[in-house]
Amino acid sequence: MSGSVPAAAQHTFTNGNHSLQLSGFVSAYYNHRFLKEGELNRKNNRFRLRDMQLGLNGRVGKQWSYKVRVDMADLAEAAMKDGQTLDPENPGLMSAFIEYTGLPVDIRVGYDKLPYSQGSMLSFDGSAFWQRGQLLRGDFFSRRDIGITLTHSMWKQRINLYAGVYTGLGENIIGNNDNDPSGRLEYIGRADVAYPSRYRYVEADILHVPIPMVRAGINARYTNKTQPSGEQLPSNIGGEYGLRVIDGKRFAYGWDASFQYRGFSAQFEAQVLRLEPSQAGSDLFYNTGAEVNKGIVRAGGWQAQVNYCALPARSVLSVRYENYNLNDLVAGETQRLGIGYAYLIDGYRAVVKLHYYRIMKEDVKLEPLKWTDQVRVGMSYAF
Amino acid sequence: MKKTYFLLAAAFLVLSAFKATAPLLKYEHFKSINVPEPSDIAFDGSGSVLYVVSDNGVLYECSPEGKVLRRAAFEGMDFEGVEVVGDYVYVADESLRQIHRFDRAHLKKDKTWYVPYSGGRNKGYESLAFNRTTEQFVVITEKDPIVIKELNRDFIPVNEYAFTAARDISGARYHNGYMYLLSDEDRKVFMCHPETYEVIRSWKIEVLNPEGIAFDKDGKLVIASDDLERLYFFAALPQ
Repeated sequence: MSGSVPAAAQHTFTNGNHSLQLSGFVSAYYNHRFLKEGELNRKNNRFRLRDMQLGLNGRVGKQWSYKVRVDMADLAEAAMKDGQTLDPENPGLMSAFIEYTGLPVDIRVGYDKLPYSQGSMLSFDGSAFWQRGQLLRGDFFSRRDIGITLTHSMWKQRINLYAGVYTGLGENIIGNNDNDPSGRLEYIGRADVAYPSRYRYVEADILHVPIPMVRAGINARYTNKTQPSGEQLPSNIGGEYGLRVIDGKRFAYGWDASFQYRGFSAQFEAQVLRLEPSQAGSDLFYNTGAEVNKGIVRAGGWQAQVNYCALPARSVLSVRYENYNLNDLVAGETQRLGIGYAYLIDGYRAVVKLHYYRIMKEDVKLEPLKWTDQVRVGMSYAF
Repeated sequence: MKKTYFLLAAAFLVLSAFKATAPLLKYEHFKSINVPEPSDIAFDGSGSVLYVVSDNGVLYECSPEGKVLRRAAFEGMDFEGVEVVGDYVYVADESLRQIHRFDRAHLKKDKTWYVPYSGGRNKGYESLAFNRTTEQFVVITEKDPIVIKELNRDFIPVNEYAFTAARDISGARYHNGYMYLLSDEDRKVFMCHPETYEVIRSWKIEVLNPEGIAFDKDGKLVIASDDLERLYFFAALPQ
């Protein structure tokens, strides 16, 4: 019981009105892909330093706060790459904002996670998986951007309202600095309600809450990035599937729900993208005529996840199913199954995680894959 | 492959079946309290006044049932611990590592001490109590790690203990010769030796986000739920 005091995670300095906290997060894993017959390139069988994050988190009095968080591993990786698309789940700069909380509406200015999608807003540190679902990890919509976010909570923080305006270029704004030639912004809104008490953004119920808790949320975002004549979007800005930013109008909406009770928890989320490319010859139309596509492309999907935290075994087991369609003008869909296991050596501070992926159904036209299964095992440590 | 999934799930369920148990304490009733995010509670010596502190840095004076009577004008950053000793109410500000003293007559802050701790900002002093066996104040850090610090009346550290029987500690109170510690994440009350802080007994409680612990004039246990903004009233604990 009593004895020497172990080393503390996180460090804080305070001068009586201003407190500044230093924190960090390191993770590394080994990845192994089971390739399809005939595939010979095994470059993805490798060790990877996923995170080497350092964070500064401060509060000044009751009304000001700020946060800067960078991932050194991502920055180093980006510096080594040449002309490759930025990984939206590992963007290097993760947060850099100031926040004023002295008004009924909290005002956050700077670069941070967007208030859109429960699965995106959840902290990676508290997941049994090594990766978010494909639908929510930033290839369908950006997860971070520079702008201003207004937040208001009511009913004992059970209801949370978010509204914000951003550049619309997502994580790529850091590399671009300037907006795209349209100069237009993106608008995002979200509302969520929880019962019977406020519900934090967590996946697993490691507290084994004694009463059933639920939360439901809806969110939407809109931007019109129609390019002026003779201009075009910055290269590589559309992301893995060319859906994150398009030359034209882009409207996305989604809804989500979360539940937890006595170690069991579940999350559900659906996302719909409605894209209106400005050019009739856009690649997104896949050579269909206007009488077929009517100038609109839809994409989206849903994912469901269940988790159980077995405290005596210090374990969290998660199962995730994903189903998404990259373009409604092209027949096909992708179905993925993920199984995650986390062994909590010291809560989520020190964790060994195993993530198994299986492709249940492949969209052979839009997302042909060279592999069928993948295993990722590694460790993370928060300090 | 299906067989593998089944075996993995079965192994997980078997592992999770090993569960340490502590007797369950059932509450008799609860009352909602008009204090946002109550983070600790303490009765005065007579048991006729309940002091409540809030995450938004405000000290409230309440009736024993939790009705707000007065609130202090002074506001801190993040109050997480409260204790009553004589004519004063002492309050711990977790983020700033400060202890404030308020005189009970006017609820006016008249003194502040700085008690350094370099751990996580929201993992600082979550509990404040006065140990009548050692005649020392006790502050306890929330987690990573849980550190029990004994302080003299000038809030100078005189001793320090590590506590490893819980994932976190969210409240502490001295009662009938023992120190009682409350764990939010484990939802447990620990009866501890007042000089060594070794656990003598423990009980499970079914309260969401319990952050404050006190004993009323009849020795009955009262627990404050931060998230639900309620007071839960229990019978007296078995000795």
